[in-house]
Amino acid sequence: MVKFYKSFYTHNHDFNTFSVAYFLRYPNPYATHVISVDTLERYVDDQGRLHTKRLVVKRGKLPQWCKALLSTSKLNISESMILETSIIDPRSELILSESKNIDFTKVMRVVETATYKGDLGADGKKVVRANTTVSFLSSFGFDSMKERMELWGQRKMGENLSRSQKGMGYVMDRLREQGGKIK
Amino acid sequence: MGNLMSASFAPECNEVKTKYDNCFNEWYSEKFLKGKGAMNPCEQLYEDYKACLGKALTARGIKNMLDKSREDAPFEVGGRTQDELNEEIGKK
Repeated sequence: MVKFYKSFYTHNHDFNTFSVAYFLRYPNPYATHVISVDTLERYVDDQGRLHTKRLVVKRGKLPQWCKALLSTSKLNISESMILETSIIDPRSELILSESKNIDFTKVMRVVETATYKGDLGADGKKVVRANTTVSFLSSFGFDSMKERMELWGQRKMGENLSRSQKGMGYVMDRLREQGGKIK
Repeated sequence: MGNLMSASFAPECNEVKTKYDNCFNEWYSEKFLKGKGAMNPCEQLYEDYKACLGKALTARGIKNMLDKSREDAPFEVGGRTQDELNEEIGKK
């Protein structure tokens, strides 16, 4: 059975800063497990939207009980590869983003889809509203194992999302300090 | 950030990647987001970077895995197809 995790979050930054930070969010002190980020594909479509595919390599974080099982099956999960697809529409201030692991999908397939929409907060200040859904599907071993794996992923997700929100906040604050400049 | 730009998974591509990333980031924040993104000055740099990346992905056996994964249309898991998303963006 697939498990889901949903999250709503409001970033107190304007859309432009957020979208610059979206591409620059690695490395940051809250994502030390990210090893590399490469742009596989990028183009602007005829409606002025930017399409990007990136390959993100992360150090794997699996529970101890799982590591023990995998070592007997001779699978070595020390790194994991994520394919991140995004569409950015600057006019409607909208980012659609999807991230999924492309290796070890039998053990666990994790797909995160998110929308980030520029909006005005209650005080009239510009904000970005994030709406994230993560799904977990394990095809690993027998049913009770799959269940255990999916529940672990689901539990872990709150923590992970909170870290990535902090990471975005950190990068956006740095951008603001630098007057929106990257260097 | 600063000199802390993300690395390439293939160290031999780091140099071309950095050149491209710097160009892209400048274009993205100064042109694209301001609605002046029609001309992309980073295309040649991207071709250089992609050529390096393509070789590295093939050499490390990642390319097949990626091609397979890219066949799945993105954004479908959220229950929405690419067409529905286009519609959604169009409405906003």
